[in-house]
Amino acid sequence: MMKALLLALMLTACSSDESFMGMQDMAPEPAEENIFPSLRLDVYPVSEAENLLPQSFAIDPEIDDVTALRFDLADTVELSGFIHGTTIYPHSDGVSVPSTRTVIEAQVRLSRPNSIHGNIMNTDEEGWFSMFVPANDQYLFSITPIQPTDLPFQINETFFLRESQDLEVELDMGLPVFGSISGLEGLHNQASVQLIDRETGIVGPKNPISSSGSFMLRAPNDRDSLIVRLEGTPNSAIPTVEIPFYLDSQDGVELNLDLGSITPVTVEGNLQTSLGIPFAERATILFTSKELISTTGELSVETSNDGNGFFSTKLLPGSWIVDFIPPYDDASNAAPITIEFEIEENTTSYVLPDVLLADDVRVFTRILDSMGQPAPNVLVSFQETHFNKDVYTGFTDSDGRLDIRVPSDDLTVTLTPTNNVEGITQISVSQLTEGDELEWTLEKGSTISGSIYHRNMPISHALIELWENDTLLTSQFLNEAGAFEIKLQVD
Amino acid sequence: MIARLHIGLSKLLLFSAPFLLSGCLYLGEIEAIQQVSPLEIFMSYPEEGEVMRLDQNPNTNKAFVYVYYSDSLNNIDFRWRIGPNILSSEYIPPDGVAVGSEVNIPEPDPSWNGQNLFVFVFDSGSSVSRSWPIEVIEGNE
Repeated sequence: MMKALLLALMLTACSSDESFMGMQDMAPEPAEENIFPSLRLDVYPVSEAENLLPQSFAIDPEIDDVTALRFDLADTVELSGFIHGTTIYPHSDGVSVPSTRTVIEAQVRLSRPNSIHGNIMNTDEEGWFSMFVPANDQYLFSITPIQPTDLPFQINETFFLRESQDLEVELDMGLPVFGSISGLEGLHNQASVQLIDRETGIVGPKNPISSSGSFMLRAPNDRDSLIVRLEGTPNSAIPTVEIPFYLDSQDGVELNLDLGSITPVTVEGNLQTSLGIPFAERATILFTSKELISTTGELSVETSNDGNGFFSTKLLPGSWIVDFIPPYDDASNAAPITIEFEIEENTTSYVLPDVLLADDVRVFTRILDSMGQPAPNVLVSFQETHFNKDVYTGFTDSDGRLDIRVPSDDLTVTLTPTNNVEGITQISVSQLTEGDELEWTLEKGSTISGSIYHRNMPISHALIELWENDTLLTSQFLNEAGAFEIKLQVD
Repeated sequence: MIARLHIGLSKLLLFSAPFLLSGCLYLGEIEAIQQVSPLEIFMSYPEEGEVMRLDQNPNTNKAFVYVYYSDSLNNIDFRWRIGPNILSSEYIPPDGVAVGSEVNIPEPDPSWNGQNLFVFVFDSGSSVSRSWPIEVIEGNE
């Protein structure tokens, strides 16, 4: 099935004007009223001298002329500083002990939405940090304590960083979020709770749960839409539960949760090749609950098989979906599979029937150019839309053909010509079978072009990536003059 | 092994070559050889000697390598590894100067901290590699 958006991209830096015009003469006139999707250009400069860092640029879909665009890379600046805070040890009954000012070991993050701008850094034990990022006046700056944990995270959504700065950060004590969790009998030391800011997704420190089931968190004073997340350690079979709430009182908030009954079930099985031979390599086995019986929340458990294909883990009663993902290796024929099963209540163990991995399939592709002729040297990439999103690639031969083995899964196919004449096309395919013959014709479209500069000097040979939301459309290198020219076709 | 790009000469040029040479007469067959250097990394990200930092920002957990382009496009192969794990990678199509490969690691395994990310590039019997020590920045997620 063709995607609604077919994109044809072409680097024309190496093509002569004559051949370019010739192609235009033969092709239908590009539509003048194309509406480009919202695109993002990521630039990865490799410059020892300038020490420039990766940066993102939005291409406004509303502008009429998307040729001769200019993007200027920002200087690299340093953000450093110390983080202090005042810890408080309040109890859920409201009694508190004297506070203590201390250095805070924390994770410091600078980021921008829909952008690769930023950096993440853990401070040292003295609370000191130093990080380098591109200068920008619209960073999201957050600090999440690592130790001690009885402090709130801090968020600044409009952090201005045009020049290097050295900060002295003082975390306040925040507001209490406390409560009790029942149903964790004997499992308290395998669970933790933490706060999440709903607007930004920034998370707070993980705090323990006492043997009586009570917990205490500190929320920032200036964030009112939050989530408490309960989570277990790996293989604890404790479900993840998220409770959204609004913090509209300076007294904090009390939240209580009854998990019901948590009765772990031992689940075992054997993973085999399609021929019934124990799978000796280590596969990723990912269990995800669809619905849990007798408790709330969700549970996701990752495990792997041993050298004899045997696997064992602990789950909860309910309905499950499980992915078996063999390691990426194009020399192997093993392909991922997904199965579903149910564990009934009052069960202590469950043995899955032998699980046979799928085989990948050989497909025969043929690519034609826009004139209907075979297109050689086209990069054909099949990417899984599920599992690990692995990629299987190859180039077409002189007859425009490529035989390739791919998983029989939902795949996104990207056709990237390398002849400076045709453009990239993306196609979705699914349920491929052995011996399928696939023939696609390349498309042409409208031009996006531009240059990347830093301090009025062109940036040569940087990697650029063109994204539409979460989909990578193409990766290319800038030419010597720091320029690119791309063709997009919008259906 | 040194990869060589042989440029064929037309019979007419071979015939006339002795007369084009100034000052002396050479009657042997001329074989023009443009030597292409052994497979060589043009650039990489991270750069050589730097650390591969993997954190919770899936967009920036990326490495790429860019090697000088030779005529043997179909023979160029990039292999990315961390320990025994082969990583899925993508070609960056040739632009006339070089050809590349990139790898994205959206969900780094904490156990990779201290290991090395390797890329091996093969082309017609030549090979070149680069590696970076890995630093995994763990957070609270």
